[in-house]
Amino acid sequence: MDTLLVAARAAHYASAMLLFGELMFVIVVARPAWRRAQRAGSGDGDDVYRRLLVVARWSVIASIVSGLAWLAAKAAVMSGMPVGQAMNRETLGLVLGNTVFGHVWTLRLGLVIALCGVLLAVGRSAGDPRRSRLEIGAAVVAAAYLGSLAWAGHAVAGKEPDDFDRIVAAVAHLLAAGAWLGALPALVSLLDGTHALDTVAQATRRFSNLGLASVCVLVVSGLTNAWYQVGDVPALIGTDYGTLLLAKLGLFATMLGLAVTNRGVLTPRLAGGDRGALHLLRRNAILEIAAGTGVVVIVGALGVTVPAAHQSPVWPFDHTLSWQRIQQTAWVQLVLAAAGTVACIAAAIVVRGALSRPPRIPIAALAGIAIPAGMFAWLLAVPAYPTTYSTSPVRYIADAIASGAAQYASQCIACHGRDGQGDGPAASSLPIKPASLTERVPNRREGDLFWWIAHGVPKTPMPGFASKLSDLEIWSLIQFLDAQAMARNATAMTDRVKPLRPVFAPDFTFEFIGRPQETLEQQRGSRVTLLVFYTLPESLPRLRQLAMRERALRAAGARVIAVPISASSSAVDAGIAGDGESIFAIASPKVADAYAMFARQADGSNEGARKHLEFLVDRHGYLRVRWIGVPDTAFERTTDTLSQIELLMREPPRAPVQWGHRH
Amino acid sequence: MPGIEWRGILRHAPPRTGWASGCLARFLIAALMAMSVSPAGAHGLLDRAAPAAGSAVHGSPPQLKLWFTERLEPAFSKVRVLDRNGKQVDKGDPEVDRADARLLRVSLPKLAPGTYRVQWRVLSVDTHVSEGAFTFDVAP
Repeated sequence: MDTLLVAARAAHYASAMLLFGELMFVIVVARPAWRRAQRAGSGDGDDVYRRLLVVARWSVIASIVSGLAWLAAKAAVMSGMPVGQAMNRETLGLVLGNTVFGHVWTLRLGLVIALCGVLLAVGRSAGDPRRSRLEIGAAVVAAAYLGSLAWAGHAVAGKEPDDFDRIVAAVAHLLAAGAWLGALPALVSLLDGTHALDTVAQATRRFSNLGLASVCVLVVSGLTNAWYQVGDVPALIGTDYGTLLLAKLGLFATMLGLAVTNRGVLTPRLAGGDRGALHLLRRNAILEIAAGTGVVVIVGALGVTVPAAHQSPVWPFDHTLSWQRIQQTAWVQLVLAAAGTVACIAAAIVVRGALSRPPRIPIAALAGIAIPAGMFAWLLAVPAYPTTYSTSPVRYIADAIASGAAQYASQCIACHGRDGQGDGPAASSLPIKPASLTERVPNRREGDLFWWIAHGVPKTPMPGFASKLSDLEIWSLIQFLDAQAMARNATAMTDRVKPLRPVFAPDFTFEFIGRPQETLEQQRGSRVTLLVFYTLPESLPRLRQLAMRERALRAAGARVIAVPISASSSAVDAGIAGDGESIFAIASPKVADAYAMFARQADGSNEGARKHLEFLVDRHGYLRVRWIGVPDTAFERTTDTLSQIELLMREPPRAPVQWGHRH
Repeated sequence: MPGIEWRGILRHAPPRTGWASGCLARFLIAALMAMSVSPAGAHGLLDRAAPAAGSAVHGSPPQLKLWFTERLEPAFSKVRVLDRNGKQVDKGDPEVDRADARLLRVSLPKLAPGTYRVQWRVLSVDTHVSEGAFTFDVAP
């Protein structure tokens, strides 16, 4: 059914653009040119009007037919039934009455009927001075008809605050395209050699101005649209949507080149009375229409393609450009800065040469751009793989980290060692020792890590594990590697608040009896979280203390969540009385396993962590304070806890933890 | 791409009219090829769920809530909860929240302990259909 939808979309866009473009041509190009001709006593514009009405009639018919086909294809997609089955009153009623698309389509049907009426009036008003006002009215209705297509596409969905910008950009893009591409057929018919040459020259110059204005609007609105639908270069290169968009841009560049030729070279010659220029102009305009038709078909296909911003890009090249490579060396940065300056100066010379008459571009200036570009490409190139820009479907949650830990223990620990330092038992026999994972992993893209784990690292003994681990297992392993690297940062954590170091608190779900399921991430923003991992009976005194002081802790801004380290010693049913809300949560045992990774101190010891472990998570999702082991005096620690909570609450707000934080 | 005849323009060479329509034909063929584009795959729009995907809840939840990344069309957005044998156990009243068009809810009766499968199919306001499934456990 997609071919039907794409074809219907393309035909509908084309006919709507044609309707608007023809009217714009009459108002902006033909009428003023003919008014001058009439004053000079030559030429008549009646055949222009006849042509307009014939084209408009067929465009309206085509637009209604393609609009109905689009509606039928959409009803099929929405209901999940094949087109034949979807054509029943119930489904169509739901589509037309209960969806944004349906409401827009009903409105547009009204608009096209209104347009028919106004065009009939225009046709009947030959010789009537009110005709020009009717034409403008028709153009307004046609503009509404064309512009309302913005509500049938990707511009409608997305984040609410951006709605207005997106819709404005989409409508502007449609109208500008209609004014230019839709008016081209009328221009071609004007260039058939049956009209007075100077009138035609006038009209061509006016059309060229219309085209210039349209191109400016197209570029600005097109960039805005691309910003929302694509977002970045990997998405442009690595997705279907991006490839289609690049093809569209290529065709647009072709049209632009032809238009520039027409404006800069051929139109002045036509004005000077050169008849040969007429044929060349006509040919170029036909070529522009051909390229424009390709653009419209691509637009039809773009509408059914997932926007690039919502997909994981597949990188097609062996290399990519990355600033990461030069961040360490200063001389490379200097060289690149110098090369960039040279390129800018050369570009300025090229532009000035292109704008002078006659155009003269010095070869040296072109080399001044090409050589720095080559240097940039050579210095910034890093190896890249199809998954380099992929995003992990697995988030940084305790479950994934615990699964990843299990994979690491079975596949990786032999060479990489328990802490990822490359000191495993098998490492000594390797020709190249594994590098320190905790140093390398934070600086690499997760997509690169995925590829290396799945397919191995070339020229090293690291093998590929794609045959042993599924994709999801590899992504979980990467979450574990992230946690391993952050656990190293965590060795510096003490029982006092220190300046922020990147140690993210793994997210997890938990429940309190009688309350709905919650996640740790939901606590962010307003509250500090005190996580207590306990075992019974060792942690009992401390747990009693916390339960008794729950109200005070909550008033200080903290939420207490106590999770058992092993499922068999849960305090949920132990009947420990408190003065406020319950602090005993139910959570998966993997949560305690994941957090145990952050319990190691600088000297490698984690004495007591297996019995009792406490963390303070700040309001932004970072682990900040840690207490290991059962306290000697529960009372003193509570005073400590309160003072640290207060310090954290007083900290200024900052950006919260973001998953997938790679450059 | 056939080049623009720069030399032709400068030397006033007579135009080859048949050549322009050949270009037109070529572009139309390319356009027809573009129409056989792979369909927009159902891209996962699910942001989060409560009960969370893959988690275990203690006690039967009264509702299943699904949050999506885009606003939904209520007329074509559905969700079902099935038990281990594939029998539908939800109350059959999927509803898009009036205040937040990204939230889809369905009520649940008291569920016995076990694994349950959620199947959802939603239509976002930009007319894209998306579907998916996940499981959650109800623990005793």
